Amino acid sequence: MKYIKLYFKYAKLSIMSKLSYKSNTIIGILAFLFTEITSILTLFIIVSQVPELNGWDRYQIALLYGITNLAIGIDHLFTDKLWNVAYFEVRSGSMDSLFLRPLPVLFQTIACEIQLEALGEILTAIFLIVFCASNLALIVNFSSILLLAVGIICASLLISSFKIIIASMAFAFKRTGPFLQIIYNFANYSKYPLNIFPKIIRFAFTFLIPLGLCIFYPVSNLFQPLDIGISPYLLIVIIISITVVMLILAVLIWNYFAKRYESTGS
Amino acid sequence: MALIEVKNLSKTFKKPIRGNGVLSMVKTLFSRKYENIEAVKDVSFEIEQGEIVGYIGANGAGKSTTIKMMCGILFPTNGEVIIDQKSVLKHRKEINQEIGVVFGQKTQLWWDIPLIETFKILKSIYSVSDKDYEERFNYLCDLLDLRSFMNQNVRSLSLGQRMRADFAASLIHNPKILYLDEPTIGLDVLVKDKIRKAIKELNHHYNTTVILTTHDMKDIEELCSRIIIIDKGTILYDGSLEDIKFKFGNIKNIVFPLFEDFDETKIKEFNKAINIEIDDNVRLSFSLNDVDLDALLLLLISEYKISDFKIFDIGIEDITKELYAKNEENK
Repeated sequence: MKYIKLYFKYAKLSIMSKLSYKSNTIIGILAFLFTEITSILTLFIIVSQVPELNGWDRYQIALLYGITNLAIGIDHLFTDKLWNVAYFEVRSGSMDSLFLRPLPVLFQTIACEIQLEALGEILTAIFLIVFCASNLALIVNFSSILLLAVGIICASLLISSFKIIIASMAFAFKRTGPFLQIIYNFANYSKYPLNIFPKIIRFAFTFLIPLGLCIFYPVSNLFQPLDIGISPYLLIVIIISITVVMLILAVLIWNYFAKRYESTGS
Repeated sequence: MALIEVKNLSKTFKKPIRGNGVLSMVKTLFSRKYENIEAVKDVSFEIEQGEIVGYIGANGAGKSTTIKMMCGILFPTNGEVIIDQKSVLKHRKEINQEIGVVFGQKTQLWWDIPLIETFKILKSIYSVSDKDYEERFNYLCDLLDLRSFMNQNVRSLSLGQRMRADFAASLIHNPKILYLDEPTIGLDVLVKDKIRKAIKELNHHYNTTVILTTHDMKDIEELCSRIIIIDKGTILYDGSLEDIKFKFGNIKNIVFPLFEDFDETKIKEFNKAINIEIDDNVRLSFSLNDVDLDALLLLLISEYKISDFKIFDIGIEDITKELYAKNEENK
């Protein structure tokens, strides 16, 4: 309970800080907005040349794209500080102040930054989802919506877990940013229908980095009932369990590496 | 039981050996040769509740390294630090509740928002009760004169204001121990004075134990009952300020301007133990153990007709210089 209250206080201060540089924040949001809009346009140009991609039409592909971006954007909004940890903060010794407070370091790292720029990503994603959904005949019922919602949230949490794990390695190796970038780029694969990829990538995205499981199957389920032999409810349970396991694993790994944090000499 | 026990603390930094130039940089990627730099070597001491201890040494002597190990943000290669009978590495969160830290070079304040917000969130972070917070907040505001800029953004504060704020922020949870790493660095005389007074006041009022590192010898002379001098990672001296001054023989200096027909023979005849240096001024330095100050002054006034002179004690600055020099000789 103390932590929930504290989280909101940290968040408030972070937003206040961001708003003290109004133009900077607005430019940041706009920049992400434009980046997203251009990549969506590119996507549309490509798929308009190919009327169908393995049975997926352009609106379906765009919907998948939007939903993946929504998950990425949510993670971006809440855990952006991890990038700084992976790139600079351990090396420069500026994590000192977090290690001097009587709170878990991971909590402080996550809580101290709400990245408003992510709103650019989230807004375009929502726009795209609404636009595509209105052009598609989707199967909308309780189970399909629940599955989708759980999928999106869990996909965000999974991305966060991977970020936590890789950022925490910076405590030992000083800088893991580039590696984090690779994993992040890899997540972009799940913006496209899983079944266009070779088997090995399909396998990886279902089991190793289970983003496909969280996003691809719930989205396909909106077009036609799943034919993978399990009910949507079972899939929800599986997705949640995997996410919880990954989160616990991420926290354990973080705590393990955080013990190796060292300040700089001066 | 002492409040802080530092036991056989050592810290060795491993540094890959590399030459200059790109080629040798590439080579070091594949080589496994390391140079060991011993920043702190087998340092032990104990500090009791309520002491103000000055931890001094030249740049690179190992001061900050020791302080960081005492805070638990740097791991000792050997030895341990125990606070309140708890090892700092194993009980990070509990220990943090008991310590306050000010690094002169870094700020812990929230940079882009009004100062008051930092205090409010620190209250929640350290779970300070409303009553205690009120009391301490008002006390610190008065002591350090913070009210006039409490609602300003931290970013817009001057260095002096920021240091005072940082100092107050590290105390809002009433820590038993306050670590100050060069708290007066870059400050003007007035602010330095204010911070010194605050440290004294605080030590008196709350019995806070203070450990400070500094290059400003006035900090030490005004505040510390005890000093620890460190050089090249080892302790040269640990004891009271008076003791070390006595050890160096109660040395006094007399300085007066050089005049035309100055002749030093009479002073030499008076006492051979007086060391005379002549440049623009004449500087006599001697130990009170060998020389009768009154008689010397009488001589100077009657024989040399000197009317303008200064007498001062040897400063801790000179003592550390000598200690460093002696330490060099012994090697």
